[in-house]
Amino acid sequence: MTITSAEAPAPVETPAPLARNADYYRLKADVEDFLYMEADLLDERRFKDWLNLLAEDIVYFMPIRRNVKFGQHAERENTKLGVGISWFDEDKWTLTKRVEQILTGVHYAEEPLSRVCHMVSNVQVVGVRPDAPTGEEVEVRSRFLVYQNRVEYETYFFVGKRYDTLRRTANGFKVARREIILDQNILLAKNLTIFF
Amino acid sequence: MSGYRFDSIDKLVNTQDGFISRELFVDSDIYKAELEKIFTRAWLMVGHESLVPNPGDFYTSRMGEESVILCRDKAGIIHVFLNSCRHRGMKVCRYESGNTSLFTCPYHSWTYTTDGRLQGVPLYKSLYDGVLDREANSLVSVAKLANYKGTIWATWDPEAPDFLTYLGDAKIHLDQALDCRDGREGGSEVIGVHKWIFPANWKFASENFLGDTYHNPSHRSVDLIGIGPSAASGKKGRRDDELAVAQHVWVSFPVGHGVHSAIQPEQNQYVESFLDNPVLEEYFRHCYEERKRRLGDGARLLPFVGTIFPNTSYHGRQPRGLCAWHPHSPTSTEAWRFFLVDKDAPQEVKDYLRHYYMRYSGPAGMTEQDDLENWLYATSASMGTVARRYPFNYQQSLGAYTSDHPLGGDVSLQVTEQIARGYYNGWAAFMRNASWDEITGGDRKGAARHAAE
Amino acid sequence: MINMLDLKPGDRLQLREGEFAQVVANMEDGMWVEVRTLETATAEPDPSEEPQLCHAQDIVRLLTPAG
Repeated sequence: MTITSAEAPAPVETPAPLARNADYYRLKADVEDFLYMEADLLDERRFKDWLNLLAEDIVYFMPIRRNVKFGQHAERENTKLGVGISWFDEDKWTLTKRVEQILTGVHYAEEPLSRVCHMVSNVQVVGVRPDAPTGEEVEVRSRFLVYQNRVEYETYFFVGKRYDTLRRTANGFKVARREIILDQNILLAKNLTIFF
Repeated sequence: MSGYRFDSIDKLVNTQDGFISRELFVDSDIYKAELEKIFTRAWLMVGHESLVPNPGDFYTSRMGEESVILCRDKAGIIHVFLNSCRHRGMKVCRYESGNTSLFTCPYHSWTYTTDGRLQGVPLYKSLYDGVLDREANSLVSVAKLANYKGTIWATWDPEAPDFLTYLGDAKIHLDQALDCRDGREGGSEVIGVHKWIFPANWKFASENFLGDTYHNPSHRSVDLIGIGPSAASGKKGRRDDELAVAQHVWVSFPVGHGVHSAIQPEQNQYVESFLDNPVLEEYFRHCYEERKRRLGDGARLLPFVGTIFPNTSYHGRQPRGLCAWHPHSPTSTEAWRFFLVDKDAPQEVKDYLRHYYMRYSGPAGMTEQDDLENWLYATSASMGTVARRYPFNYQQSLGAYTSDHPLGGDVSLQVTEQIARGYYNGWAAFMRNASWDEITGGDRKGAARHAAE
Repeated sequence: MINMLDLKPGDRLQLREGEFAQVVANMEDGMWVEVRTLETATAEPDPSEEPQLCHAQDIVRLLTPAG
């Protein structure tokens, strides 16, 4: 038999590590700054402002993760973008709808609004494409821990990884692609009303 | 064992006057009795044949609280087994799906073939020869299994009636979730499964899908913004418009099944429903006309939603799928939703539908999120000692139905809780160990005798 | 101790109590393989013999990798 790698490969291709020089750390600092600012917008419930950070062609994807046999992780652990059913397989239109729904004031699953706190860590820049067709793109990996508390006792922790593509524009970075790897199989929450 | 004897069950369920005790939704003794009296007898949906297309394919599922393995053996026969080793009970399969020759227990390595036989026992010759009866220690199999238009159903009760008898007149409604959009029988496939857990009693979900049309206001937010297949073209609402001119019907059937369907006027015209995508519009119009051609007058019946007692619900239109509301505790439910499409639908149609399903249904679905909020807080606010003294009100459209309608069952032409009352009548019959004849409506005298007592 | 996942059809095994067997199929559960018994370490199996399951604990050592 052939034992394939049990390591799930990164959803984005892993280029050779970037040299750790002054340019790298400057870029990393800019990226971190952007991600923290983005988390602030979400936690401060400035949802429309948050939408402005998303590229018009954003891909926002959260696969469902499955329990598979050793050796099959790369192939079968996560549902795939563009195939079947995932937790999120969204574009800007649906993300905008989600924001509009919260802002109706009668989206009872978020009325009253949840208290949400996004922790972002382990930020690494893993690739830079200066010549991407729509402007320079930066591939970023990070971890998240998102705390949600709603009404009185309802509390959820969402923990996982994010693989982002950030696009540099005249108005700063825009999120062009976000893959959210939630470290759960059966979703241990009644809803996913929050943004990641 | 539960302290609820059948005489106390009837005090909890008063469908004559329209009151049902909150104890049904929070009490742990009632919950334990449900697992024993309902979930070991009723037909439960386990999965779909498209999840196990090849010999050796398996898909782990649930029946009630218990883990089961849906498996196609090497000869191609579908089985459902309890996922628990006969030796010390360890799960013999903790993968979600796959293909295998053996289910090997991680604990002591007893191993079972895909038809459930105990094939390997370590150190058999020295420790078990002449003592262990392998045949008698196969994986525990369900008593009966049915493959109905691709969906796999099972029961632990060898005395249970066959699946079609159990379905009764609810069949043609469920059919519409399972048949092709153009009227051909069966032909669906599962394109993905949502699994999530929510803190509410399982019956809230089952009851909601019987056809609780009255809860529409809780979806006002999604209706205001519009997420349906014509939403990008400016239409509000969350669904298509195919039922716009139909007469809606709410039907309660024996066993406790309930459906909400619709009957098109005699001329039965297709209503434009997919403005956002001309390929979809064309496809569904074509299917509609084909279905009319195939089914004739029968094509006027269009599906909406329904629940097959006790915990299988379907959405027969878009977002089309089947749900199993697995009990986890009195106040916790594990929901599984199997999303369906016609296997031979064009790729563009499948792709559009899966996106629609994801934005509508499940924990990330803009519609269902509000249901889950309701079910959670309805459960938690019913747990108090005082709250339990006050039964839920089920008086809506009391008495407003006919039992003399070609669809069979008790048919209402207005929004009604008759389907919920019927559901809890079925629930009560199971809970007082009624005969199968009485449960399926064959023994109406028995039911009447019980009502008179 | 051998990792059962590494066994391949054709591999020859020395079993407990002086028995020998040849691997027919590996179902890759990490605990069992299908084998036919051998008269000696170098004998050929009887192809008409129904393969049987052999558990990891019954294997003393791997004699010859299939190559």
